[in-house]
Amino acid sequence: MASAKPHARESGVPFTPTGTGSPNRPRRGLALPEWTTAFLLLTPVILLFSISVIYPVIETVRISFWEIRGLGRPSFVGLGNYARLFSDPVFLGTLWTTLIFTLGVTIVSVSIGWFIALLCAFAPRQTSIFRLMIFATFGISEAVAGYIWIGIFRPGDAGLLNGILTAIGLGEFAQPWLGGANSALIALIVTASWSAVGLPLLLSFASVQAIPRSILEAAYMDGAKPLTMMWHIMVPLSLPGARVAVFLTLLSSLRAFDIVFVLTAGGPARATETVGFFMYRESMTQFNLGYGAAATIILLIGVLLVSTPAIAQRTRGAK
Amino acid sequence: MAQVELKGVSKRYGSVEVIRDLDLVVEDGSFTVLVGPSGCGKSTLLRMVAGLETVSDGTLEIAGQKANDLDPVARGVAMVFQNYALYPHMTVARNIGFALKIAGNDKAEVEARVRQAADVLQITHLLERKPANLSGGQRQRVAIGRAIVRNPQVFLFDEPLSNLDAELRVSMRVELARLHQQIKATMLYVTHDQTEAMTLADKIVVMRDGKIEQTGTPEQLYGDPNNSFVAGFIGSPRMNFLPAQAEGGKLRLVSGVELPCPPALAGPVSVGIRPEHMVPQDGRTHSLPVTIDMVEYLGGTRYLYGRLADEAPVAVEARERVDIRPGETIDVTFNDRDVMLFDASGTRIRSATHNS
Amino acid sequence: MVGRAPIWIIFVVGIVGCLWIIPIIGIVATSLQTTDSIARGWWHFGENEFSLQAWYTVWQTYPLAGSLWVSIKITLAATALTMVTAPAAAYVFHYLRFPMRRLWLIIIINAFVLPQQVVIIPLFQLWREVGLLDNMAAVVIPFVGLSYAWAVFLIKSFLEDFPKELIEAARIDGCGPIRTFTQVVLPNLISPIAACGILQFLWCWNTLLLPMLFLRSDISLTVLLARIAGTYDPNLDQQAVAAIVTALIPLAIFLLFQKQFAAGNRVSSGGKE
Repeated sequence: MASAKPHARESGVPFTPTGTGSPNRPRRGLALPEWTTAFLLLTPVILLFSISVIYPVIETVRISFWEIRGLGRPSFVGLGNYARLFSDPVFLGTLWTTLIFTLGVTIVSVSIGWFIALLCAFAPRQTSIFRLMIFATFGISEAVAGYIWIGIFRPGDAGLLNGILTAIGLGEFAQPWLGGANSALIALIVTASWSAVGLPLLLSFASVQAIPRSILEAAYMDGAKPLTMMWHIMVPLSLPGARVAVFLTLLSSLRAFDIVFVLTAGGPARATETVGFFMYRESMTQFNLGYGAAATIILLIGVLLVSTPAIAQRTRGAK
Repeated sequence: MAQVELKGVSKRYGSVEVIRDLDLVVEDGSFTVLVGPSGCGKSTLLRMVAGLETVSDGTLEIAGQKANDLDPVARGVAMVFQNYALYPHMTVARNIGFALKIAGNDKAEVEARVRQAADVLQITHLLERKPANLSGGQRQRVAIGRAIVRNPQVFLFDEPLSNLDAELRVSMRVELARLHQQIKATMLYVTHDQTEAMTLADKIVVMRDGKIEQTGTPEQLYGDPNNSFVAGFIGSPRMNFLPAQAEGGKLRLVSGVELPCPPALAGPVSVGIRPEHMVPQDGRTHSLPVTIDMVEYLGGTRYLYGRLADEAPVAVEARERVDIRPGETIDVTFNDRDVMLFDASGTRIRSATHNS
Repeated sequence: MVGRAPIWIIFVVGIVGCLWIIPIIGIVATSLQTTDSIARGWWHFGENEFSLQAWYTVWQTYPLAGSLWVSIKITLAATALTMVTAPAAAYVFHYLRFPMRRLWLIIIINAFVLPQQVVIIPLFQLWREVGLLDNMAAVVIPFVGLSYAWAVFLIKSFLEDFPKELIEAARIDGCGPIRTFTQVVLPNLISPIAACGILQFLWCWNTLLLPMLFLRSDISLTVLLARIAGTYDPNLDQQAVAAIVTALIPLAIFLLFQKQFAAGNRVSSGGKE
């Protein structure tokens, strides 16, 4: 980009030496060196970012080495909180729940979103209204999604899911969905996938639309039918968009909190607690701040592991 | 107006030297064209004059004043970019008047000068449009308008016509020439198109690998090039270079054709003859058998592309209506005085015999 | 697309589309029916009775208007701050040179992976100490601070395709760095800034965790929704009303601006993630 030298502001050379017309007057305004300008424009950003990201990260790491219960005196425990976490069956359970939930939501929402995006590419205009119907969930918060789906998973005849099962003669499968450990996790995954499908749909659709028309025309001339064309041409060529969708969905479901809080509150009997929820429960309702902070750090490590390639790529691209 | 002078100017990016110890005087009021293959440093040179790149070494003077560290605006230069660089969110009038506004001129003054520039370029009817609603040629005019409104000491053009279609390019070329006549400002113009250089320039500067190969009027460069690079770069189709051996005052080409040469000359040389000086079958002094590969018919004239017996490619201009088909072998002739000799390193060998 | 679109494709997409809005229809129907009807199942439209009772009850019992106002204030403040400061930061990082530039850039654009959970314990303590708990700022500050991670990245990727000749032309026209930003760059950043604004609006409005922890008396809509549900009466109809009110504005914003949103997102996702 533009040269690195600071802007010198000599006013030596007259702008219009011939004197015809009116000479341009000297510049108004401040003449600032580049880094001063940068500093001015950047100060609010650095300030807010430091308060809400840098300080909390460092502080959470620090607290995780301390035992802090409510308003009692903090005592330094080193890695004690971490040792406790890994012998706590509830926490080990949340690790498992988080894994299943994250993979479940990612697989379900990305495959549906991608598949619909591929189909829509064959008839972008005719399907635009349906696409919008699916995409609309992007504007609905996870919390609201939770309430919406509570009505569907209700026990007895009042729940839509049970109602449908009874209506099609599968009444024996009707159950209080949010009452069983496994069914509640499934309910959580279904709800979160319903709510998360918008982004994969958007990203994959953009990626499919970016495939050069001539390639698809060539495949059409070669006699490819829609499904063949989808599998051999469109899937590989829309992979970049789908890959981004997988990553972003993994990232957001790993840290899930709102939807768990609303739909199951971690229940029944802490069976659907994710790490993101466990940390809230320990630190904000039980006031075990140190223990909660340690769980948060475990979550952070998981997130960093998943994001390593993305971080590497962004760091390389940071010019 | 102003003269631009570069004294011993170099440009380095890290350890890569793009321009090496270069001296150049762009005379006041001249239309100087920098021409050369891509990567030769011509654009970098222009951008250093503009103040968009720093000068690593040497002195840059504009109007007799050292300008190395001056801001672009303090240099009194205006630039027309290859892709026009019009501000997409501003109307044509605001685009043209932007620099004046920045410099603190009052509104009425800006308006008057914008209108004046628009009149010169005949774009007054476009003043309220946005760049997106203009054709390529119109955008080009606006870009030029943005430059002339400031009455700059020096106009800089960075391949301004290369985004236009062939027809527009020709007419804009004519307009640029007329503009120069009209405002008589110093113009420094970069292009890779030698036709543009030939038609526009008072003075052409041919560059290669960060160095100037030759400076001169179009006629000088065409008729009296210093080396085979300039000879080959200027003129279209390019000059034919035929390998030959010099020995005892004779040049031996393939097919046994012999030309006279200075007696001191010995070893391999290159014989340069322009296509228009090679004529099929009309009984001039020498004749070479050429196997024709392709005939390019251009209406008034036609170019024959073929090979000599040793596979050296040859282009021949045929003005007469001759019926020659690919695959035929014809005799091609030329005169002694149209021949230029270059040594193995490409330097021109000037001698009484071969220079008229 | 090539050739004629097969009917079955439209059919399949149509079915999935309809499936996707059934839950939304359900929540609307639930909010408009009597408690007895809901117990029977809201989809028995033939037998069920409609009533606006739930809407009336919620409006009477809960501070719906107050929470709506809190949500609007918080969201607008956080969105406006992001839309003003993030483009400036992206410009500075992309075009200006200054000490530690690359280090800051790397930290900021990689912070997008951080889970919100990381900020809550330290900020909870900090706000308690400086007396910011229950203050709008307690929520707005982290909303804005966390948004830089993706907002700066999104706008900066847009700038990567920004013609550098425009910046050079501005320099030749006599603009300094600030004027180049305000007069030449900013007017051409409208689409990524709009995309940032929409994303930030949706996120701030919809998120539950931070406002639930940092606000007490003046609560936002999502928090109110959580409270209504928390009372654990069989008040599905009232929950439905609160859910609809909470979802209405972001959904409207989203549907209204989805074109800009898609445009901005295409920029950020163009294989650069």
